[in-house]
Amino acid sequence: MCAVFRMIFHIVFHQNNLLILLIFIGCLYSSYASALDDSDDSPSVSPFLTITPIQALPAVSDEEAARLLQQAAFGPSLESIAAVQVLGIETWIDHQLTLPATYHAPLITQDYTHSSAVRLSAWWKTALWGEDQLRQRMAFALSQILVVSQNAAKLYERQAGLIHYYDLLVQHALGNYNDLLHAVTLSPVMGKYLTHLGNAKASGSIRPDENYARELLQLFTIGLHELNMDGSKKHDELNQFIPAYTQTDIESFAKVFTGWCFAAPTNDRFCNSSNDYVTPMRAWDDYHDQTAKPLLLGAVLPAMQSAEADLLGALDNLMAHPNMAPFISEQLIKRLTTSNPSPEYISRVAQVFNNNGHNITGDLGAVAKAILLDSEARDGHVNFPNSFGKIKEPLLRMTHMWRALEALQLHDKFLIYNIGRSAGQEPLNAPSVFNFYSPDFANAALASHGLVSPELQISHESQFIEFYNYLFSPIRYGAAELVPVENVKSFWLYNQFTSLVTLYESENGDDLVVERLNLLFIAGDMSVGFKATLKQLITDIRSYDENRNTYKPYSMMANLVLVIMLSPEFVVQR
Amino acid sequence: MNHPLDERRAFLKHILYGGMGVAALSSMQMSLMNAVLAQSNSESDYKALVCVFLFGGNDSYNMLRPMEGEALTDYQMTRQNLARSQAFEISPGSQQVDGGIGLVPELLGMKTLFDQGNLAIQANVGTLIRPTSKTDIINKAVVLPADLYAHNSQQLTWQRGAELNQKDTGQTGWAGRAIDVLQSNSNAPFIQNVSVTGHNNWQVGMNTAAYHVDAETVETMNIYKHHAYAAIRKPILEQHIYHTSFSHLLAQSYNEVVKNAEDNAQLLTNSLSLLSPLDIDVPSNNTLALQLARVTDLIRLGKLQGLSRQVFFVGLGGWDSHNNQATNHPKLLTLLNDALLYFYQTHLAIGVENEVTSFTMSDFGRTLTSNGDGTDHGWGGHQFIMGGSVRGDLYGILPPQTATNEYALNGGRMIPTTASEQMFASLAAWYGVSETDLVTLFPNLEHFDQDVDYFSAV
Repeated sequence: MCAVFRMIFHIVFHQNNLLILLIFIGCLYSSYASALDDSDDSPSVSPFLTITPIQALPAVSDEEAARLLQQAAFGPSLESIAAVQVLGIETWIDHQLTLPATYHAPLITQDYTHSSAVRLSAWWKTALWGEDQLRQRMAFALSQILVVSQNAAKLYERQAGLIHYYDLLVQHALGNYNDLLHAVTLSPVMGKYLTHLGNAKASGSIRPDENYARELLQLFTIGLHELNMDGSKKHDELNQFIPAYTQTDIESFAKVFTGWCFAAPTNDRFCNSSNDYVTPMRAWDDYHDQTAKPLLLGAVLPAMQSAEADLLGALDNLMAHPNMAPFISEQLIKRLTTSNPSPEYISRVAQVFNNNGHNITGDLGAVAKAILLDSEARDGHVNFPNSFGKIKEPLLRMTHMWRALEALQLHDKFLIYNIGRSAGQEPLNAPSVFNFYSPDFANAALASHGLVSPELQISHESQFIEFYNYLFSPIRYGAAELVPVENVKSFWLYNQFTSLVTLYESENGDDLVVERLNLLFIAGDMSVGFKATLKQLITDIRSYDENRNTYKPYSMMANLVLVIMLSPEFVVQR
Repeated sequence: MNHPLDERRAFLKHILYGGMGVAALSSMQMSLMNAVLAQSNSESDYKALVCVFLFGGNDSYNMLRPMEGEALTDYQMTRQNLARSQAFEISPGSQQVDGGIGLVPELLGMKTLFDQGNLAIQANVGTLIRPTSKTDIINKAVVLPADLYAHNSQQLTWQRGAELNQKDTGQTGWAGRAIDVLQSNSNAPFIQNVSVTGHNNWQVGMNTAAYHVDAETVETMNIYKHHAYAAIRKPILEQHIYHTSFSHLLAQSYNEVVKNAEDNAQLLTNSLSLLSPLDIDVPSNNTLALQLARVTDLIRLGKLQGLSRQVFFVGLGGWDSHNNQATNHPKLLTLLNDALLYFYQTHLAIGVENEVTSFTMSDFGRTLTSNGDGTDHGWGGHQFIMGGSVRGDLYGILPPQTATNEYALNGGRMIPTTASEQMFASLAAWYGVSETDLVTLFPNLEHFDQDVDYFSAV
């Protein structure tokens, strides 16, 4: 869309002159206009026209921009750092909120196989190169809350359905949570995964299936226990947690989710099979329980309602529950900024969840902005230097590197195989509806400090080795500048090292390279000790090369990146 | 097989004289060697506990089927389309079951072990805080475990072996606590406590954490080996990164996990290569059997290294049978049966059948009633305890399979008649935990009869 801008931007990079800003604003305007054309997308009210005049732009340092891009995007790059600096943090977020969605399904150029590699080629493309980074990052976060997985119900055979499910997350990622719940509930993929597809009203001793009702309440909306606005659990007079719902509530909600089947099953019968895992499920009211259903908070769905009316009523009931805002806000915070948000941070975000400023509940765009603009998100690394942040999940470590080094796809197939096994994580392939890790996971040491680290749950010895073995060759031998065309592998991305090599070859090159890597990989937070370590590595490699009368600056850069990727300072996003 | 002592000497010799490859022995390896040398007389006292976790909630009531009469009719009425049509009768020594009872055909191997006296079936066991009756529940006269019917909470409660007290923010599990009380030394060799299926809380102690190993491969770090610059990267990474402390607590925790990964993987790779293959085929397409094959290898290594105690965690998912249960549950039972039987055969082959006890755990039992083509989350269920030291029998109360009896809550969610902590206490006692320590390990145990015992002769 903004190719002209990108071109000029590259030419005059880092000069921050007015010309760039003007062109960029032009760019913004066209994005905004096209966003308005996309009726599916429902962009929030654009703050575009209120862009702060240039002289009043608050200065955003390189490091601040990089830190934001770790949280709001799939990692920083020099280009995206500059874009944040040009706009300022808030305006950058506002701009992101207006960008049209990049959907995954249209990016697929090959036939789906019964593996995830084709489906995920679109995930990698959007994560690495999508303009709508914030939307995609939110969709990824939501994919770990509203979990479906190809590892159950033979969904691995339904890759087209899975990618459409992901696109529902993309579509609503900055929209309204109620709309998202509605779309997800009626997805045949979810219907198969949590088995409400084909769920019928009671008949004789056969009861409705409770699966979706239970996980919707426990995992997608309100959680197990009554919460305060700050995410802490309420206690009863015996100092016990208070269950947010009872088994009776689950049985009542189970009746809500009866009567749904494929839109067009074979022979038009409830509930025959279908190959259409994309079209939303359709209500068959003969199979819907039409008794009155007590819900939470004293609400009751009246008798004789249709399946659709019951569904809307039940979702409204959950949206009105006081747990919803803190429960979902805390999980989104944990996916984006920090594993251990303060109660005040949760509370501030939850208030925005409840009211976006225009008396609307569940505005995910406003919630994302609140999460990212919060003082704790921006200054947590200073104010809580020993606990703020999160372990980057394996997929984010990969996207971070490939964005930072402007990796190239040199092969049109672009299939990254077996990532689930190697990384212990793959979009829409969690072991269960409980995701890859628990939001409350802690090891004994962290628990003793009252801290959690969800992503630590999949960071164990064998996973660590398998993951970095998987990445070893693409990093070590994946310099885009050096690979002969005939050797290009369809399952690799190729890092570009030239700008690092240029720095290396200038005066004080060692320092400049380490500082650039510090910015791109650690948002400027690299310790003095680690800088010294990297300089030692440079020195050691240089003497090794010199002893052999060789000069291999690209290998040098690859080695530095390998060591950084393995380091705890990179792995923990602060 | 060779005399164990000879094999151990050969093992030591191999490791001490170059078998470790190019890597110099790390301090951990040295301490392991010392442990081996110090324990040359301990092999008469070896025990391993193996937890087989059935993730998702096994419909364990449907592993057993009444053979005849009213019990069978009741079963069929309750189970509807999920009733099993066939079973092989078993004859518990200690109790008569109305209508007789049998194991479904997929569990024929388990029936064989039961008949041989090497399999215990603990009936209707579940999470409890106090002995609990239906009347107590209706009258709200008893405190119930928190978050019944929720997968994650109930898995955690089983693994931790204690009701999750609201104020209890520790993460320990009962195997971890057992290791803590049995040894003061926290530098035990890493293969003492191993998970082959990812994280769980069962193995978490204050001074111990599980080592994670893959069932099929043990990889070592490519970044350290046979490439140009490897010799430069390795000391840089080891000294300046993994042997550095980090003030950031998440970074430090990450570092603790990974800092010994390479040393351990090297040691494991080299040690495993010393084992001669057993002449028993691993059941094909059976991930649980693959995990258990790995456990048998680690038991052999543990004994070679003179360890006296080991715990292992393996698992199989897919048990959350809300739908398609008639197809899926028998398949899972086949995998379980074949894997356990294979595992026991490997123990016979290496002569450890009396030294290893395996047992199942699962999130919960399921509803006895059907939701159309599956079952929903329940509470009490049956578990297997397998081993040569086990006294094969049916333990506890086996309630009738009806949805309205005195043990059944709405939909046929069964109130446990044996507490999971009673089951664990017997296993922990066999493992060597003293009676005094049992009460500490299992905080609710004192409220229950403590005569559950799968091991002593009657």
